[in-house]
Amino acid sequence: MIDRQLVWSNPEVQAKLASFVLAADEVWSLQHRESPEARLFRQFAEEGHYGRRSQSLTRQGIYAVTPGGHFLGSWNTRYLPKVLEELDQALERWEQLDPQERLAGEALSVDWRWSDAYPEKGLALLVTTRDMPRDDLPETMRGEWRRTAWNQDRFWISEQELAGLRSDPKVQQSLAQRFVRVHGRDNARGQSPGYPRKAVQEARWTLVRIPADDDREVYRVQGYGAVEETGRWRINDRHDEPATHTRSFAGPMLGEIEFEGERCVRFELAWVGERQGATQYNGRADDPGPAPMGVVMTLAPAHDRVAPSMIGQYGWKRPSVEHAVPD
Amino acid sequence: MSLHFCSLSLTALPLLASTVSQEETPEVWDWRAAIEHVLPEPSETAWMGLPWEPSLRAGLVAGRQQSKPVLLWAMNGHPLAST
Repeated sequence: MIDRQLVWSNPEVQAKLASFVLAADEVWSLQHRESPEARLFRQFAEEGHYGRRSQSLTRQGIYAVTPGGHFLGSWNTRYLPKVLEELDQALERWEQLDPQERLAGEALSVDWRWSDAYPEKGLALLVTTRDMPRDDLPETMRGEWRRTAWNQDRFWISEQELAGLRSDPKVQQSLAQRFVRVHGRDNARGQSPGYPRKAVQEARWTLVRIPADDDREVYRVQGYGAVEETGRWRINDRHDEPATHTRSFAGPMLGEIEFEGERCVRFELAWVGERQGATQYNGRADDPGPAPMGVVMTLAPAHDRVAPSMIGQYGWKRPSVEHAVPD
Repeated sequence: MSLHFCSLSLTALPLLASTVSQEETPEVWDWRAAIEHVLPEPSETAWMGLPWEPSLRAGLVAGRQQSKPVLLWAMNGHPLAST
């Protein structure tokens, strides 16, 4: 998050970004998936800052390429002068190409991705996680960003699930289970895997209609979520060896959901509880708690079609793409 | 397991529950204040206002349509989701 706030928010950077089309993507799948898009990434990434190193190591960073995938530049730093220099150099290389060269290369064929499963008639929700206030911040905590670190993800509800959300206890139970299993993970400061099903100790939502003005249909949603897992894993990036650890999160949930007819127009849910433990990449090795953390779920903006990072754990089926056509 | 919110610094976040447990989930605590605390400030989300395409492929398609180079932000974890 610190990169996002410091670099992309800079006015000089933003002025230069106007010359580009901006894209964001998950690097692991680009490095390992078999698809035209991923193969193209691997080609130009080999010319970049992490090129020619072991394929098992990350290629994360910023890449400037032509629409055909020809390399223009790359970097992985948030040092502002370097970012500005790299943006200038990439644009210079682009300007040096003649118009035909700029658009050389074939358009990619369609490669179905989970973002294509966007629930048009369901619900797309934004999940935000951040530490709650506390007095006992560790002395070892480096930098201001860790105190206020936050992260976000998505939670999708299918059309069928939305239809049962207000009245079907089975649907409520199923959604609560999924929410607790996936979003009970502590990713406020980094990445952390979802919990296995067996780690869910309690997951429940109860919806009760409450009085509201005019024709609004407002529900109070109340619940509780608790997850706990013990196993062997690293807790400090690659600086420690796998050992036995426990991680957990538990606390009450409360919020409101509002409908206009069949359309959900407001979704506000807070899950505030106690987190404990650390995982390899979540930056908690020296701050494992127990400490308070908050998870909040709200409606995602209409244009936001980014898929939940752990949609693979939803049990949703991938559609056939036999009849997909290129753009 | 119980949570003792009252042991925390809650001057800026007046959660009303003093002790919360599975057995006695209180119906009244300040969930709106919790939401306000957790959701990012506008200053924290300036980058989200930029017109990011959600995938490399979408960026390449848009780049071809607009005759512009493509700037790809590729991270462990989707940069617009959970990284």
